[in-house]
Amino acid sequence: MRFMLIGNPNVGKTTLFNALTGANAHVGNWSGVTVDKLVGSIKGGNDQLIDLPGTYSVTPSSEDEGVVTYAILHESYNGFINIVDATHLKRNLHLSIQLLEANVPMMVTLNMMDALAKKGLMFDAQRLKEYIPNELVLISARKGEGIESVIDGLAKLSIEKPFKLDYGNTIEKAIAQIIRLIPQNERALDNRWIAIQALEGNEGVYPILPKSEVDKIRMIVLETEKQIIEGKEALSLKGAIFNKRREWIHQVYQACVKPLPGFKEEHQARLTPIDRLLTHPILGILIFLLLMFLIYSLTFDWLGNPISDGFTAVIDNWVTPAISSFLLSLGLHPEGFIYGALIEGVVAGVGGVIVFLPQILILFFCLSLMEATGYMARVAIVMDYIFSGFGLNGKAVVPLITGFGCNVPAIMATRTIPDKFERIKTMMIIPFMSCSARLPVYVLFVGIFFKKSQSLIIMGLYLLGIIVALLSAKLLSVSIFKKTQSQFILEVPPYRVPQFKNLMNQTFSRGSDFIHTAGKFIVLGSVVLWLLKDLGPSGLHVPDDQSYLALLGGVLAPVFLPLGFGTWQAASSLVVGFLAKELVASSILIICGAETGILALFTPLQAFSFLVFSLLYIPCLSTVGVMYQETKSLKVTTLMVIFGVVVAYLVSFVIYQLGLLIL
Amino acid sequence: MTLATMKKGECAIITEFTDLSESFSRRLYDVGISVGSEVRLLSILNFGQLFYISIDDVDLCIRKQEAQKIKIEKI
Ligand SMILES: Nc1nc2c(ncn2[C@@H]2O[C@H](COP(=O)(O)OP(=O)(O)O)[C@@H](O)[C@H]2O)c(=O)[nH]1
Repeated sequence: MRFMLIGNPNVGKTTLFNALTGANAHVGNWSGVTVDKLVGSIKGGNDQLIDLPGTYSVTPSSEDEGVVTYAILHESYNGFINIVDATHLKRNLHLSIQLLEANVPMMVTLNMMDALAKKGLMFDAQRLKEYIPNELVLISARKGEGIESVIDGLAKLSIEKPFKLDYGNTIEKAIAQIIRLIPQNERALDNRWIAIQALEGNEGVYPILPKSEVDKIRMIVLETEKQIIEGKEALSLKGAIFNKRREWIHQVYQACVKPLPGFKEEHQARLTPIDRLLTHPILGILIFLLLMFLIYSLTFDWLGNPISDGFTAVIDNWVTPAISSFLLSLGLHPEGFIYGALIEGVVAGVGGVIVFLPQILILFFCLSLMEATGYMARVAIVMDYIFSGFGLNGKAVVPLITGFGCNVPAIMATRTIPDKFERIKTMMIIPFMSCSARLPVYVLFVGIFFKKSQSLIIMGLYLLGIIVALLSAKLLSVSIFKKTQSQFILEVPPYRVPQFKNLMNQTFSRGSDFIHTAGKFIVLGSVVLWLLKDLGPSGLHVPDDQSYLALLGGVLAPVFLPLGFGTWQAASSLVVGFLAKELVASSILIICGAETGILALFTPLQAFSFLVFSLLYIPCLSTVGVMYQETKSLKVTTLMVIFGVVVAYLVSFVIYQLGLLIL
Repeated sequence: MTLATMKKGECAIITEFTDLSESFSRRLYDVGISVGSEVRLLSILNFGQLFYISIDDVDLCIRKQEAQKIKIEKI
C-alpha cells in the first residue's frame, strides 16, 4: 500500500516521516515537476510513504505547492496521512478540509500534543469524531509518542462516511453543474473535489479534464464568482468558500479544544523580549551580520579549509596514484588519450567536487540550523527593510546567503518565494554572490598584486558582488519586471529547539543535491577542458599555446581589450571558468606557467578588473544547469546568462576606464 | 480605518480588502486571513514599514503598503 503524507509547512512532517520510515527514504522524480519526491517504506511492513512538500492549501501559490495537486491527481496511492499541528489548529484545518473533500481513505494525525499541553490546552478527540469521522491519532512526533498507533491505524483506513461541507446554495449549484461535466473515470478521487478545486481557482485540475469541458467549467466558475459578488455573499468566490470553511473550523475548535484544568488560557499574543531584539531594525541586522561572520569563519577558516586540505592531500597522494597505477596495470599508455581523459579529466574533476564538500556541508548545516530554530524568519523580517527598496523580498535573504557557499543550492532555495517573477529576479542576481569557488582566483591574484591589502581587496570584491546584485535587482524591477509588484507575507514561526537528526538529514540531502547537479557538470566540464587543452589543430599533446583552448582564447581576446585584459591567456581561462569557477585560478596558473608569468601579463589595475570580471561574468555551467532545471525555460535561462555577462562587462569596463583616468 | 492605522496591542476585525492583487489575497487566504478575521497588532517594525500581526493562531508580517489596503474595524 502507498500513502501520501501531507501537511502545512513546519508542522513536524519531516519528523513524522523519519519516525515512520527510519532512514530508508530515497528521492524520486515526478515527471514534469521539478520538486523531488521523497519515498520511504514504513517500518514493519511493505507499505510505502510519500512525503509531499509542506503546503497551506491544495490550490497552489508556489511551485512546491503545485506538487500536491499534481500528486493527488497523478500519483497512485491508497490513502492520505494528514499531519496537523494541534497548536495551530485553526489554520491547519483549512488544508484538512481540502483533503477530506477528496474522500480518499485518510488518517488525521494531530501532532505536537506535548506543545499543546504546555500551552495549557487539551484536545477532545471524541468530540472531533463528530466532525471528522476519519481515523484520528494524537502524536508527539518529536518524542516518538503515538507513532505505533499511526502504523496500526493505517491498516484500518477506510471511508466510513463521506465528508461533505455545505457551501451554500450558489456554490453547491455550481459544484453540481461542474460534476456533471466531469466524465466517468477510474479515479478513487471524489469528483466533488475536482469541482471545488476548480471553483477555488486551482489551475492544476484542468489538464486531466477533456478540452471540450474545460471552457464550460471556466464559464461556470466565472458566473458563480459574479453571483457571489452581486449577491454580496462575499467579496470573491474564493472568499465565500474560505468563510464557510472558517465557520466550520471555529465550531470544531470550540468543541474540541479546552483549557487544561488549573491553567488560565492566555489570550494575548505578544512579542517576547528575544523577538523584540532580533527583529529590531538596527540591532537585529547587527546580530545577523555577526552571526554570518561566525558561520563564515567556521565554514572556511576554522573547520572547512583544514578538512578540505586533508582531502586534497589524500586525493593527491593516495587516490590519484592508486587509480593511475591501476590504469597502467591494465596496459593503458600514460601518454595515451584514455589515460589522460580519465586521470586529468574525470579523477581531477571528481576530486574538485569532493574537495568542496566539507565547506558546503558545514555551510548547509548552519543554514539548516538557522531555519530550524525559526531564526531565519526573523532575518527575513529585518532584511525586508533593505531588500524592499530594491524590489526584492525579505525571503530572498536565504537564497542569497546560500549563494556565498554555492550558487547551485542557492537557486534551489528560491523555491520558497511564491511569486514566479520575484523568484526569477532573485535567481538572476544570485550569481553575483561570490561563491566559494571564486575564492581561489582572488587569493591567487591578491597574493601576487595586492600583497599589502589582501583581505581588504577580497572583502571589497564580496561587497561589490552584493552591491551589483542589489542594483541589478532594482534595475530589473523597474524594467523587465515593472508590472509585478513585490509582495511580502512572512509567517513567523515560534522558536523551536532543533533536532540534531533532522539537521543532519537536511544537510546531507542538500549536499547530495549539490553533488548530483553540480557534480555532473563539473566532471563533464573537466573532461572537456582537458580535451580542449590537450588537442589542437595539429593533433594530440600540443603545446598550450597551440591548443584549441588557446585558439578560442585568441578569438575572444579582443573583446576584453576595453576591460584591460585582452590576452588569449586571460580569455581562455575565463572560458574554462564557465565550466567551474575554481578552474579560472588553476588554468591561468597552468597557462602562464607560474606566478611570474601572471605578474608579467597584468598591471595591478588590469588584474583588479580581471578579478571583478571573474566575480561577475557568468554563472558556472552547473548553475546554468540548475537554472534551467528550476525554470524549465530555455528563454529565461538564456536571459539570465546574458544578463550576467552584460552586467559584468559594464562593471569591469567602468572600473578599468575609471582606474585609467584616476591612476 | 486600515490595518496600517492600528496601534500596538490593538485588536480589530477585517472588513474589506481594497484593491489587493489576486495572488496576494490568495496568499492571505492560505495563511488564514480573510474578511471577518480578528487581528491583533503585535508590533510595528522596520521604522513603521512592517506590521507584525497575529490572526487566529498564526503570527505574520505584512508590509505597510499592503496593510493600507486592509480595512478594519476596531473592537
Ligand atoms: N514540541 C514539539 N515539536 C515538534 C514535534 N514534532 C516536530 N516538532 C518540531 O517542529 C519543528 C518542525 O519540524 P519538521 O519535522 O522539520 O517540520 P516540517 O517542516 O513539517 O517538515 C522541528 O523543530 C521539530 O523538532 C512535536 O511533537 N512536539
